[in-house]
This record gives sequence, structure tokens and C-alpha cells, in this order.
Amino acid sequence: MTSTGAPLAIERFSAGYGNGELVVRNATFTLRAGAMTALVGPNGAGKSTLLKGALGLLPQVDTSGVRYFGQPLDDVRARVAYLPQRADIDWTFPASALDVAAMGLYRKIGFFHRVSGRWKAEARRALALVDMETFADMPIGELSGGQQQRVLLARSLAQGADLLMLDEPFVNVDFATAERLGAILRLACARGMTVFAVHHDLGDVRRFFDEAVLFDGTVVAHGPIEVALADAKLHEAFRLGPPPQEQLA
Amino acid sequence: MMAPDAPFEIPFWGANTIMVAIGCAIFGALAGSVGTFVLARRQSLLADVAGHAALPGVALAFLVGEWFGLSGRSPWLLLLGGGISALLAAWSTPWLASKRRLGADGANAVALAGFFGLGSVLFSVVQSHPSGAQGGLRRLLFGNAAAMTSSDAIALGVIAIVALTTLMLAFKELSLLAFDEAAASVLGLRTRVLEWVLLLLLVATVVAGMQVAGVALVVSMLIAPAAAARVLGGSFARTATTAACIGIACALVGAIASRAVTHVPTGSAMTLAATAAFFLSIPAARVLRNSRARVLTERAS
Repeated sequence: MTSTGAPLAIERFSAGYGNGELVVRNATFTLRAGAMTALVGPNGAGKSTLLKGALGLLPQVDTSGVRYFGQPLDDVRARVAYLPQRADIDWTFPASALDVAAMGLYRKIGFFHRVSGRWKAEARRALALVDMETFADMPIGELSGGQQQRVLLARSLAQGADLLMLDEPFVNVDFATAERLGAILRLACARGMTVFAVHHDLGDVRRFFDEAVLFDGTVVAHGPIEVALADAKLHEAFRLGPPPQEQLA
Repeated sequence: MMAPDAPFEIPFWGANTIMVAIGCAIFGALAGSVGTFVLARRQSLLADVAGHAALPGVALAFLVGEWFGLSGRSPWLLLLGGGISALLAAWSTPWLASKRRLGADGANAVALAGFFGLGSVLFSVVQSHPSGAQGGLRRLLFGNAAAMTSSDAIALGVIAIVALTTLMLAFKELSLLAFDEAAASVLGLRTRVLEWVLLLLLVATVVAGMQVAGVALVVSMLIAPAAAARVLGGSFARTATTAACIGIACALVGAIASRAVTHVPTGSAMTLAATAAFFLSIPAARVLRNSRARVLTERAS
């Protein structure tokens, strides 16, 4: 990795949907390079809005407080990949696993150029990294939920991204698939990638992630899992009142 | 001498028929391939709105042309008028849906009815105009490929060649936009520009199809061949190619049928052919799947 600056640094960042109401307010945090960081918080806390806003997917949001590798997103787009929520993708779309993995290469291939055999070979290698090479020619609609997620991961690996931002990647997958996806992400981190994922299952977060950003409209806590997800912080973010031991005291 | 509306007043396989066949085939290829994107982006109803919305533009263009002493029947003038109003509808309807909490369903219905209603009123004015009744604009409602002149064919050909070339050059970028718009945006593709390219391709197909399929039924040639190709399966590029081939076949079948049977508009005949192609694709897909499974089983054993 040839980073100059943190993979993602957000400072006093606010975001909403243009109706005057801010869903994200004054969020500030910096991701550690090469780490897996989870974005955790209650439903409606603005986790997806934070991710989409920081990626410039909400047109009315000011992204001047967001830096990727020390630069604005436009200057480092090749190094940043995004996996949306499963529900945001039309899985009946007529494409094979290989077609989808090759989409990560479109920037490298260039405008007006077709996906030649060389690029298909590269996409196939990316599928092999997520153990999906044998499914390369299978229509994506015929794959299981976990396999579809692995194909999207292959797309990001093909892109050669240094920062991968995922929105609920483990949702609606079984335990074994979650383990497999977690292992692939850990392997990607070991190779220098930074992973930042919205996640709701605290058990998965404790198992797979190095750090967490606890979020409820703004950053409640950020740091290593044991610090960010301490009981008191969780009770504050999820508005559960004080933890039981404090009530007893 | 044959009656003016006799079906075979022009030799069936004469030069005019060949020109009409080529024009219909080009339109079929364009409609099938553009329709693949329209279907993938779930904009079938928007395509219907754009088709119906071309009507007031055509009528206005005719009236403006006559007002300035030009020929109101000029194909470029009519295409320009139809194109502008179709584009206005195709652009404003999604905006209406997002800004006024109508949803796409309600916005499409309001826009379609509004534009078509306006078109009907303006058409009545055109018909009352001294040269309006002879203008032959009524054929643009349901299509009449047999009435295609060489200037109509040239206009259709130019539009189709420009549109198909654009589609082929930007195919992979447009397909990523159709599959995962957010990822396309993060990757740095200019999604707003690509959306406009698709919108213009849709409008180009509508105006190219006014003469052959008619504004009211052009949507059937956009969607049914693409839907049939999608049922048959394969990659996105293969689906678009199959849709273009089905579009060509349906356009030719429709043109020949409307020529052979008195008073059947080309658009109606094409629509029936495209609908039949869609329903035929369902058992055909099953046969294809079974034969693929048989090949795989034989290979495995």
C-alpha cells in the first residue's frame, strides 16, 4: 500500500437528505490503515447515511471534511471501493459472476475499450481469491446470498482498492457464510487493505473486527473493540439507560 | 387502377418495400438493445410516458412549421418536436416522482395522461388546419411503415446509427450504471452524464419509432424483445444482442403483416409480434435450460 495519510479521515461531517434535517451531525473520526473497523449503532442512527454521504452519493452533502488517503475522493477513486446493501442491487440482472468481478476493472480498462481476454483473466483471478472461480460463468441470480457477496468482494479486489467500504455485508447470510466472508475480509486486511463496514451484529463485530465506531447520529465512541463497545457506551448509543451495575450502585 | 387504400398498391417486393424493411430492421435493432437498458433500470413505464409525450411535440412542430411557411410534414421538424417533448417528459417525470412524493407509479400516470391529452387536443387543431388532414400525421399514432418516404428512412437511419454507436462505445459503463449505480459513482464514472446518455437513447428510439411503430405502441418494441431476451438468459451483452435480433424479427414481421392485411397499422402488428416473441421465449428458455442441464450431466458422467 502506498498511502499518504489515513485511509479515511472525517472531520465535523454532517449529512442529511436535503429536507433540512441532519441525520449525521458533526461526525469526526479517522480509520486506522490495515484494520477492520465496524460502524455500529441502533437502527436509524445514520450509519448508511454516513457511508453514502462520505462517498459523495448524496448530492446535497458537503464532503469538504472527508479525506481519503489525505486527499479528496475524486483524486483517489481507484483506491476506494464500495459494496452497497444487498437490497440496493438487482440480483436478477443478466450478468455472470465473471461479468460482475470484471466491473471492478472498468476504470483500468478505460472508456471505449472492451473487456478483452486479458481483463477477463484478471477478473477470474479475483474470483479465485474469494473461492468463486468455479462459479465464474454462473448467472449471479442463481448464486446464494453468500456467494453473491463474495462476487462483489471479488469486484473490489479486482479493482485493487486499498479501502473497502461495505454496507451490512453479512446481512441475511448464515453463520458459515458469515465466517467465510469474515475470513476473506481478514485476509484482505492482512494484504494491506483497510475495511470499514456497517454492521449490526455485535457478536460478529467482536469476532472479526479490530476497531469499532459506535454511532448514533454522531460518534459516541471510537477505538479498539473492547473500548468502543464497552457496556456504558453501548447503553448510551442504544439508549438503554445506564448499565445494570451502575443502577445497582 | 387500385383504390387509394388498397394494400398492394406498391409492388410487394419493390424498392420501396426493401427500404421499409431496412428501416424497420434498424428500428428493431435499436429498440431491442436500448430496451435492454430500459428494462434493467426498471424504466419501462417511463418509456411509455416518453412515447406518448412525443405526440404534442409532433403536433406543435407541424403547426409551427406551417406558421412559418415551412412544410409541416418535414421529418426532421416532426422528429425534433417529438424528441423535445419526449425528452421533457422523460426528464421531468422522475423529478416529479422524487420531489412531490408521488412515487414513480403516480408520476408516470400523471405525465402520460397529461402529455397524451395535450397531444390529442393539438392533433384536433392540426386536423382542422387546411393542410393538416392531408399531412398524414395520424399514422404517427400507431405507425405506418408502408408510408415511409426516403427522407423518413434517412432520418431514421441517421438517428439509429448515432444511437447504436453511442450504445456500443459506452456499453460497459452503461451496464455498470444499470447494475449498481452507487458502485459506478464511487468508481468515478460520471453517472449523471451516463443517465443523460440513456435518456437521450430512449428519446432517440421513441422518435425513430414514431413512423414505424407509432408513439402509442413504441414502448412495446422497447420492452417486449428485451423481456424475451432476458427470459432466455445469458450475459448482459448477450441479452442486448438477442433483444436486438428479436427486435429486428418482430419489426419485419409487423411491417410485412401490416402490408399484407388491409388497415392493420404497423405498430399494432409489431406489438403483437413482440408480445408473441415474449410468450414464446418462456418455453424456449425451458428447452434451453433442459438441454444445458443434459449437456452438463453427460459431461459429468
